[in-house]
Amino acid sequence: MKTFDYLAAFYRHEHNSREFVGQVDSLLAAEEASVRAIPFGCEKASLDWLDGKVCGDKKVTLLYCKDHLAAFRLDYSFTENGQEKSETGRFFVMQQADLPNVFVAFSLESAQFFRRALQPFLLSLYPTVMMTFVSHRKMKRMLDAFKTEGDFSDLIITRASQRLRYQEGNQTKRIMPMVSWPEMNLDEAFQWIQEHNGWFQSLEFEAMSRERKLGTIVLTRQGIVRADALFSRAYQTFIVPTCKTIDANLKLFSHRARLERPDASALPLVIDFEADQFQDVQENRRLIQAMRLLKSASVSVLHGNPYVHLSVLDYIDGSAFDLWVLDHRQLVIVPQLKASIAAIKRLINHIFDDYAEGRLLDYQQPQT
Amino acid sequence: MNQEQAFKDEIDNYNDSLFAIIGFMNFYRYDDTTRSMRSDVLVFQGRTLTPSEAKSKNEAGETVHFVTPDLGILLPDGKGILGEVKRSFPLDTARWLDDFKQLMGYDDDLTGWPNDSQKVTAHDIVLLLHQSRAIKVKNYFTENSPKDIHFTRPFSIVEFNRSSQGKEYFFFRNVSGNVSDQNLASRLEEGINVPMGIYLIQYSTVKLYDSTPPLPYLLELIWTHVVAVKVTSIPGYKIPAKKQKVKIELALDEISERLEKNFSFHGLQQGHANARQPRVLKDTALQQACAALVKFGDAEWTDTTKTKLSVNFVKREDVLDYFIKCCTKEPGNNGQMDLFNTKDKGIS
Repeated sequence: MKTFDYLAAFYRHEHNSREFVGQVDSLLAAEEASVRAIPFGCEKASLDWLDGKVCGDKKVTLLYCKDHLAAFRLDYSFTENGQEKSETGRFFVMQQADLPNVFVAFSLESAQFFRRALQPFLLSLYPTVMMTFVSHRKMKRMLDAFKTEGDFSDLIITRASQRLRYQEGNQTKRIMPMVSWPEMNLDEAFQWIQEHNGWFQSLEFEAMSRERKLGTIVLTRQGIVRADALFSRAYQTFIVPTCKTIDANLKLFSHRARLERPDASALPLVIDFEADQFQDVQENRRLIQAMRLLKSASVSVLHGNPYVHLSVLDYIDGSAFDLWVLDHRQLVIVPQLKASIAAIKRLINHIFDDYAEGRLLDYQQPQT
Repeated sequence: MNQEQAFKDEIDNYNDSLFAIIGFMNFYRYDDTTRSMRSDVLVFQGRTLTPSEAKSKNEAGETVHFVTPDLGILLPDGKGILGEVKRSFPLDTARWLDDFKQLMGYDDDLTGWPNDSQKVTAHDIVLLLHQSRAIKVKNYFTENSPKDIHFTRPFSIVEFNRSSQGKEYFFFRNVSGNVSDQNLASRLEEGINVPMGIYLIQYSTVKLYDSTPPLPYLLELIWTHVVAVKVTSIPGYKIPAKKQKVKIELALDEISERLEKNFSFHGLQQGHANARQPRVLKDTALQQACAALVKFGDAEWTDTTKTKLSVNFVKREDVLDYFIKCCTKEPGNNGQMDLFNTKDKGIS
């Protein structure tokens, strides 16, 4: 007996941004499926430019756009077992209310569609489209909020992909990805990762109400959420704050290039580690080693000890930065003549991933 | 000392000199009350000032067209300060008198100050010296003054050094004479620690002064801030593959203008730059840098007069290190610093 195809019905219906998340939740309740939500920032405050966009073997076609929600078809081809195959799938993109440069892409298709087509397509749009990153501390805060606001008895981690940062004595190795299924609770898992100077690339957890599993959710460092239930709750707790962070970062990172300013003045940014991060001068070397892992960039050391002064050139778009460590707490990033939003984000992302996370601030000139 | 380290030290010395100039200028510019820079204090670097008739000839009878102090400050009361910075002093003390003679050239009723009259009613002369040499140079000055070294205007020697105390500081202390500003003079007697973080923006935007920069340092500036900016601005630019060369045409004037506008004291001069404020990057230094690019295989001349280049832009993981290594391989380069014979003092 053929069962009712809820997904096909969902696709037939023309959705709008106000009701979309709730309708996805209803679909997940009816159909054994999962949704992926991918928040991203975009230089363009519109969606129509995506229509007809071709990236390699992937082509996007706009199906409809209604009230800041657009539905697209994505045609793609790939080789499997030596055979060329063509597939198609759908995705949605929602422009965030009051955040015109922030969007969320949604996919109800298979993991294969996400990995082979949608994610590579979105990544290929860099630097127009920029994914984000969720700091370790923020990830923990959001998970705590999810548990409290959803009144769940526990969140049990069923799978975690973590990365440990550069360690002394391990100079030639890049941070090591590790996959494990620790079945820990949140506090234990975050304590473990902090002790090992790492971060979670992704966390899969089960939201529990006493002994009953209500849903399985995955949250990644890029702020991507996959859920097989509880999507409205996950959207409010994970995606909405991530969108606000994207918007705040777009504003914080924009117009930093000296060539954009009539007087060519510099507008630095600060990463405050909120601890005596550089008390040990060996830390300077660790920072320099970590910076040298930045791909597609030149990292020149103008001074390494006792203070740090680096010149960084990003070959992706010619953005350049001076990096300074002049006290124990802060790393100051001085954008030079070219400094795109994407390059600033990439640089900070790299520092957080490969060296240490800190609080991002606008630079205030210190007083004597 | 190996040659690579010698270049690194030379770059360090050059930057320390820059930091010293910026720090000392800001003693006068920075207003402690409002905690901001005063707009009525004008600063200049490498400005050409014309000697009086009395000092228009040197000891050899040659005409002195102008002097170019490392730092100049014009105060709102019509007084000023001229200074010279020396991260190190020659090992050969016989050459020290030449450096003092250069300073004595500033002890004159000079014309060309950045005000309407182009004159000041009075000015101080300051020698900024790295701490390692300050006492020896002060003793030399005392031993030879007033017989060979004499100043009619207030002359002082101020030592500087970097210091680490949790934060990085630039330390200044008076070792001989003193400045006319009584408040500053008393602070300099005790020594002033300037947190380097305060002037971080200036350190990042002022990378050149009118002393010839170390060649690898200048090449890194050209590569990162001129060549890369131009290459990546080509419509449709895509990051080059490994070892792929992207060709770009560059005129020497274009390099000079870009660096002058964005990495000299240009930004600190409040609109008083004029013909007396020549470009800090001398033509010879720029030509040498471009010739080095050609020699290293990173560029080719595109005209017979050597005013234009075709640069082969490639990805390098450490631009400065690459140029240090290239310069080290140059035959005849012994890595020695020659910081004192590089300024054109206008002697004809």
